[in-house]
Amino acid sequence: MSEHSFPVIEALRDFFAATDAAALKEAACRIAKSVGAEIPAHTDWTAAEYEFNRLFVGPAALQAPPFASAWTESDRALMGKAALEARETYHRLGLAVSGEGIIPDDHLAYELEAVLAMKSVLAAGGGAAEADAPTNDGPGTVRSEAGIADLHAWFVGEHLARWLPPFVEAVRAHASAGGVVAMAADALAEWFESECNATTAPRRD
Amino acid sequence: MKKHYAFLVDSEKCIGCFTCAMACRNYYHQVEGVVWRHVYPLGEAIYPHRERAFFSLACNHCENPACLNVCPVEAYTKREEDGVVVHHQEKCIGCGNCIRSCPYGAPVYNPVEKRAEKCSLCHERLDAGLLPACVQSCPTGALKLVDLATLEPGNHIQFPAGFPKNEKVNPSTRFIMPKVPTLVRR
Amino acid sequence: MSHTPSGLSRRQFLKGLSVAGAASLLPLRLLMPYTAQASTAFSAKDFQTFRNACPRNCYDTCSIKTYVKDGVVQFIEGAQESTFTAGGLCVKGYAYPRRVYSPDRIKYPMVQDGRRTGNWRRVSWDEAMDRIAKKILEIKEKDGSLLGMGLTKYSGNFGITNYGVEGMMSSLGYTTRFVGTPCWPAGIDAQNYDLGDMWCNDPEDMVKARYVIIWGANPAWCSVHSMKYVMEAKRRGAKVVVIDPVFTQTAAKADVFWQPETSSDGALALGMARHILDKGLVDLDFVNNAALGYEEFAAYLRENVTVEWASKVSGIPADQIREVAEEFATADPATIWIGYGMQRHTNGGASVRAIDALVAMTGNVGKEGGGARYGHLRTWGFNYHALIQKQPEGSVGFVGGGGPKGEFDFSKGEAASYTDRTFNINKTAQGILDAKDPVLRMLWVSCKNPFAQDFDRPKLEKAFDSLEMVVTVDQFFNETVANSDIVLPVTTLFEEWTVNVSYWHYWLGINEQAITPMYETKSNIEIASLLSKKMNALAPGSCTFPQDIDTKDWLEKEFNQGIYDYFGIKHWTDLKNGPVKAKLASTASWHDRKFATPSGKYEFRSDICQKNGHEALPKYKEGRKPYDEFRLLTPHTKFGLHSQFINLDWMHEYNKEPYLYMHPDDASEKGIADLDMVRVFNKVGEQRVKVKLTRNVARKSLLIYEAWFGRGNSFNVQNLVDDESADMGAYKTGAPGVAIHDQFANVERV
Repeated sequence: MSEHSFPVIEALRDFFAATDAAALKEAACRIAKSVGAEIPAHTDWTAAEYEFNRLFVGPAALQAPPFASAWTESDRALMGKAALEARETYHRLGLAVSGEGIIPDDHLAYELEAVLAMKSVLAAGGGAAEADAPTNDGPGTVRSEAGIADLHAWFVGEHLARWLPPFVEAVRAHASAGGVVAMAADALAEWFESECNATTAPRRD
Repeated sequence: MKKHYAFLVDSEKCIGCFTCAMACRNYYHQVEGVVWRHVYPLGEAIYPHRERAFFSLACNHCENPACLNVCPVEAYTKREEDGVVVHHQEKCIGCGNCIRSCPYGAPVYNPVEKRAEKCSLCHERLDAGLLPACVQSCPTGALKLVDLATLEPGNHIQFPAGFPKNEKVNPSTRFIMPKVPTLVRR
Repeated sequence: MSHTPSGLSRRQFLKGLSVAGAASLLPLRLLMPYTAQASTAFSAKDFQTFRNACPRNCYDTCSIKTYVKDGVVQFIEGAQESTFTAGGLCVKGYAYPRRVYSPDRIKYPMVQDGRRTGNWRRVSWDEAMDRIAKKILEIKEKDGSLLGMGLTKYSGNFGITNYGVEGMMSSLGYTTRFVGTPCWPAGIDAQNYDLGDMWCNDPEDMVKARYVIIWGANPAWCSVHSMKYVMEAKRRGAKVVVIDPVFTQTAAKADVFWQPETSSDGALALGMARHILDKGLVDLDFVNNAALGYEEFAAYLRENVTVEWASKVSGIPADQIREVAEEFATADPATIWIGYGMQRHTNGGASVRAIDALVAMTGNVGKEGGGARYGHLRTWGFNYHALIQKQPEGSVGFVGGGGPKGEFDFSKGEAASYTDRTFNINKTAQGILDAKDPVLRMLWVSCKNPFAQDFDRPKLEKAFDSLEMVVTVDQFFNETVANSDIVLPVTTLFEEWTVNVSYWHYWLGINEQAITPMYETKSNIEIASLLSKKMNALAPGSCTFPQDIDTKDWLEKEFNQGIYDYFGIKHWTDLKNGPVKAKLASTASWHDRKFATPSGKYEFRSDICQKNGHEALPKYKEGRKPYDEFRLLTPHTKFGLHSQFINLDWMHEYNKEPYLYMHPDDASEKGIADLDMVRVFNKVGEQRVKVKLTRNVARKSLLIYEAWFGRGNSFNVQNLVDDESADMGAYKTGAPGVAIHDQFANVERV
């Protein structure tokens, strides 16, 4: 894996943002490639789409809502504190979900992209990030490498850690064994574990 | 007597509509399974018709609160100015002493926060001159906020049937009992 | 996952940061919700507030104040400006924030590959509209008309702009409409025969009543805000009598509760009338000067009615009937609240007429604090801009029909050579199955959950299976959605502009868009405009519905000078300051005794009624003959409004599962114990449910509250209710009502 690219995160992001069988297949193949998994040749991608929708999209009650608030907010309500935490995190990075308030900010795909953004900046070197930062950033925008590292550590170790484990558990409970959704869940769990292990706790001097 | 806020539960007016309970949930969004205010149907020994008379109950904001007395980390305080018993969740260590000690089951365990919590009497609303969410919501005036220091004597009682009589903690809630109409059945 | 979070508490993390000089990295208010001493006073300045109005089918139609922060609805409360809502909502209303933010909301347009398979795919709005539009064009091509396309819609959303759904259908051509109402039609017809219109007193004037009879209504559950007026009347000395086959929560608040034989109401009212006549307690001024046919009515009473007979039919002792009749006739004013429950019978209209007569002969019609209260539509004088759309040029329709009708049909019907084809909404299943020339090929469902609300659910499933395409517009995945091909996600009240009024009180409230519509949800009129765009792209001129609409503009188009004058406002934007009440000349309906009947008088004898196949006089009509061992009642629960709210997990906290309520003596005969699981069954179908034993229900009666629980619970009372018609309703609502409470069943332990 190159230092400047994070294919698993990108593939997972695209998988959870998929809207049809073609997008699912494309992202799933990239996930499989990056984690060295095999996707059976006879995979029925339309069936995978049905399963994906039962878990994450609807229209029936979701088996595993891909939103942080659904797992951290006491009452499973969306647009709860976790969504606003995510929003705030994106703002600190000078980013925002397009059309805030339409899709909750804490959708897994957005959160993975935020991790991607932070890791990309860190991999490129914080100094460069600071130098390139636009001057009209909002208040509190993080520019220093240390600040982004802290934000990343918090986002992974605190925010994601609160909901990804129960989320993955729910996905595993409802996904069909050996299917692409189960594979994505495994890849997500594996990635998250290594991300946590590689993340130093934020400074507390 | 000093100012001491209390709930007056008028079961004669109460229609068991659960509006108060949901108004609380609407305001505080408690965890699933965590209920600050519940509407309990009275047993048929107390009111002869099943699920037709109720007590709307939350924390009784006692004069001598068991929760406060047993808390090892001073997570409970009783406000000097109005007697409201406040639980400071950030201090709570989730030991469960208060939950076990309250004779009325007011503090409940929040499995997400891993700490206790209970009705706050909406003190942040009281401080802004507003009524507690539940009291404001009641469509029949069956749930009222009263000051025990100025409450006129009347047909309200402290320990109605069905409500544990624990004089030591001296719960502040007062009750008016429901009536039964004349029944003419075929 | 084996990972343990870094071990740092959020608090330590923040502390560390603040030492590092980056305190603003993450705001304390998000991460430390229970910070400090938590005694920071509430401040309204922390919120944006919006005006909303509950659009459900409910007497109370509450005005809501919505508190929004960060673009998220935080909590809601009742508007303080309305003396009716008075700062509070109900258990259902307070659950609204949960509806918006439930993870289980329908979020996207989706297509199901095979009904009831659960195999759903996401499609864009464009693709959804493409499929629908092509089907519509195919139907037109095949049949030469659009009568093969049907609409079933009722009371799921009474926001005025939602009549744009009917407008959308008209804008496509002449279609098939399910008309009438399962709710209140028999009573509407009855009041129209007697008074010329359905028009009730301001409910707030009930405090002036000296005697209140609540007859077949349960406001303690279904109109919680009205109870304070009943209680205030009682506090001022009025006697409150509740008449109901069930000892309801309202009955528990009465002075006297009568539990008559179900559907014997007409006999009871006539027995009381006879006694009032005998005692000389009739208001002669009213019956001689403001009424038509009183003498004939009196003669009917003398010849055909006795108190003893009424007692025998109803089971209420004769001395009780005499006592209450005398008290009612001598109290001034005295009022009767006629509930919708008591007219859901094969003799419901006749019973309402008998009760109207009782109120009229005692001179209580037209009096403040008096009245035969049923409902009104006096505040509904909007433009119905969204509703009234023109068929495309050259549209072919039904020949010889009268067009759609309904209590909420405000289109001024013009004589046209073609009309829509109409079927009885209370026989949806039969209508679909019987449709010929052309058959019904496609059904659009909006503001309605037929599988939870339409009668004879087993038959409905068969009927749906005969349809080529079903499109359902909804917020949650219910059984109707499961039986659809396409589902379209619709906005909640917080996500659209509209305006609401009540059919009971006299307040008017605006509904502002408080938050951006979430996901890909759209309001009903936006959906109509999208469909129009697609139709016109595929076949120019095939749909007249405007293709680009601004929902706020469309709200404005509903207002007119009449509304402004009636409510004493200058402009609709005044409603942003809170709801307003109509400026009433009197709180009493018919206060000038100018009735809207052909004679201009109160009509004890109605020739129109006779012409429509009923008795001219409010004579007793026998009820439906039992078809099984027990009477089955399936009225409203306090935790829901028809199939809405009960599925929400906030509601689940207080109402976890359905129950059958039955008398302990019947239960012991059947070997049934409290909380046993039982099977309730009849000719329609069966339903398993747990039982609670209570004398609140009469002997030989089974009571189950209608509800859609969702969450995998298939409970549905419509497995036990057939589609038998009520006696009246066709005159004013286009189809007779339905005898929901004339059902029968048996029960056994399982």
